[in-house]
Amino acid sequence: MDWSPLTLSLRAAGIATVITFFIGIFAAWKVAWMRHGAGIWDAVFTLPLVLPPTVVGFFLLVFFGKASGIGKWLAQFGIQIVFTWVGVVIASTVVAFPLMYRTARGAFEQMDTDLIDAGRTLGLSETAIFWRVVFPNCLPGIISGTVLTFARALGEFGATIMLAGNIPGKTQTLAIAVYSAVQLGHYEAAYRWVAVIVTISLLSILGMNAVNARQKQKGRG
Amino acid sequence: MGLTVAIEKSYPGFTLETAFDVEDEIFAVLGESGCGKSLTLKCIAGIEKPDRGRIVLNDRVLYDSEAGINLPPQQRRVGYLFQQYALFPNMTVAENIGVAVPKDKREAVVARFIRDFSLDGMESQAPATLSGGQKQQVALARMLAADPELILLDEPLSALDSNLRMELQLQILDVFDRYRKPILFVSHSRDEVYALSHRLGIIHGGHMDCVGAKEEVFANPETQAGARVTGCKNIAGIEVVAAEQAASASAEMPGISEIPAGSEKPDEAEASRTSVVSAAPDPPAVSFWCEDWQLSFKGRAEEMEGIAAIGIRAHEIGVALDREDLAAFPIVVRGRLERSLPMPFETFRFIRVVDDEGRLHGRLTQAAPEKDDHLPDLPAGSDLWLGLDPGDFLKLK
Repeated sequence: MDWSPLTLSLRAAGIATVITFFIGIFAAWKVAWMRHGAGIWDAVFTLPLVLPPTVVGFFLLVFFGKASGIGKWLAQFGIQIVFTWVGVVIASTVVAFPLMYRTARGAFEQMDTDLIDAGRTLGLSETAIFWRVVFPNCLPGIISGTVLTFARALGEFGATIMLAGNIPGKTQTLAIAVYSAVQLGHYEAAYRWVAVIVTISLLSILGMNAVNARQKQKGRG
Repeated sequence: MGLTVAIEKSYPGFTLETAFDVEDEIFAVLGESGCGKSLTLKCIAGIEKPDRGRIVLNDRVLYDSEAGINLPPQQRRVGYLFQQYALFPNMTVAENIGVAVPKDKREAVVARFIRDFSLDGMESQAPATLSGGQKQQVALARMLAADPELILLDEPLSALDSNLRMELQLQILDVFDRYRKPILFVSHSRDEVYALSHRLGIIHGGHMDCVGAKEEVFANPETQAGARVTGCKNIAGIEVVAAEQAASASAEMPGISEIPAGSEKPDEAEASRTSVVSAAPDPPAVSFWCEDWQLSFKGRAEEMEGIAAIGIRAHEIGVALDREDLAAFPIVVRGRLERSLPMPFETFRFIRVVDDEGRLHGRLTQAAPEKDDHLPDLPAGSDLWLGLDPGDFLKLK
C-alpha cells in the first residue's frame, strides 16, 4: 500500500511546527509587551484560527497565485507554491500559527514580570533573560503550543486543498486522503487513515500532558 | 557621592514628584500603599521611566531628561530586592546567586555568599522549597553578588510574621554594616522604618515632604499625612479665634468675646470643660479652637503659620475618672468611652469628647501600657476625663 500521505503529512506538519515555533514565540513576545496596537496585531495573528480554512486557503491562493506580484516574482526563480508540497507547508503553517502564538502569549502574560525586571537589575542581557528565565519558566505553555500546532498542522485540510490541491504522492496529505477515499467509496482506506490520524493526535496530546505534569512536579520540588 | 533623585512622573489622576538624596546610610521612604513609593524605586532602578528629572548615582548620571540620558537597568548597578523576592524558580539556590556573575569568578563568589548568608547545604535546592526568610537571604545574596552600588528594598518585610520580621531586620542591618552600600527602602510600616533607617522621607499622594533624621520626623511630622503614617491616631482641624498683639500669660479663655454669637463655640466656657494654657508669654500669640475636641489653646503666631490641624499621640493622653487626677494636664475635657481594644501589652480606648449639654463630638484614641494603666476594664459608655498638654500637640499643615 501507498504510505505517501502519512510521510508527506508528517514531514509537512514537522516543518510547519518548526517554523511556527519561532515565529509564533517571537510574535507572542512582541505583542505581550506592546504598549500600543496590541489589539490589532492580536486580531491579525488570531484571524486564521477563526476564519474558515477555505477562506485562508483562498487568500493564500490569491497571494501566491500567478496573477499576484509575489507569484510572478517567485516564478522568476522557478519557485511555484500553488499545487506543490511547499504549498502544503505554507497552508499548515498559517492555519496552525495562531495556536502557537496564543498559547505562548498566554504563558508570557502569566509570568511574573518581576522575574524579568529582576534579571534586568542584575545586569542580564535581554537575550539572556529570554533564554535563561522567560523560556524555561514558560516551558509548559510553549510545549502545549508546539503540540497543538503539530496536531493542527497534521490535520489541516481546507486551506491545503485550496492552495496545494489533491495530487496523490505530491500534495495529498492524510486528511485529504480520507476525503478522497470516502469520495471514491474506498472505506477500508478511509478507516485506515482515520485510525492513523486519531492515533498520532492522541499520542501527541498524551505526551504533552505527561511533560506538563512532570514540569509541575519539578516546580513544586 | 551617593544618590541624588529629582523626578516627576504623571499618570491620569496621579503625579509623582519627589526629590531627595541618599548618602552612605539607610534611607527610608514611608507612605501608605498607592502613594508612589514603589514607583520611585522602579524609576531609580530603570524599570520605569520618569517623565522629567535627573537621577545621579556616585557621579554617574543614570537618568537626565534634559540631556536625553536614560541608562537601561543593566548598566545602572542598582540592586533591587523585590517584595516577593523574584527568585528564578527554574534555577537552584546556587544558580540564582551566581546568575549575574561572570563564569570565571562564579564558583568563588557563589561559595562566598552561600557562606555569608548561612545557606550551606541548600545550594542545589529549588527556591520553591525555601522558607520566607531563606528566600530573602538568597535574594539578598543574588543582589549583592552582582555588586551593585546602591540597594533598593521594596517593602522587604511586609508579608512576614513578627518574629521573622525582627530577624530579617537584623539581617538588613548586617548587610549594611558588612557591605557598606547605601540602602534605600520603602515601607508603609512605621516600626520597620524607625528600626532600620537613619533618615527618612514621608511620601503622600505622590509628593515627598518632611525629609529628615528619623527622630526629628517622628517628633514633628509636619503634615497630617505624615502624622498619620508615623502612627498618630488623633488628628483634628483647628481654626483661629483670635490673634492678639500682646498675649497676657495669665488670661483664661482669651479672645472668647470675639466668637460670633450663636455659634457652638464656648462663649461662656467653664473651666470644668476647657481650661487654657498660654503657650508662651512672649508676643504675639494666637488663640485656636478645636471643634472636634472642644478645646482651645494658644500658640505663637510664627510657629502656627499655615497650621491647619493638630495631632496628639495616643499614649500622651491622660485618662481618669476624677478630674483631680489630671491636675498635671493644662487641658482637661469630658469624654465618654466608646470601646476598649485590648492589645497584648497595652489597651487602646476610643473615647468621644462630650460637651456640657451631653452632645458627642470628635473621637480621641488613648493608649495606656498595661503596667501603668489605672483604669482597666472600664465598661463602654463610662464617663471619664481626658487630659491633654498643648506641648505634646503636633502642629500639622
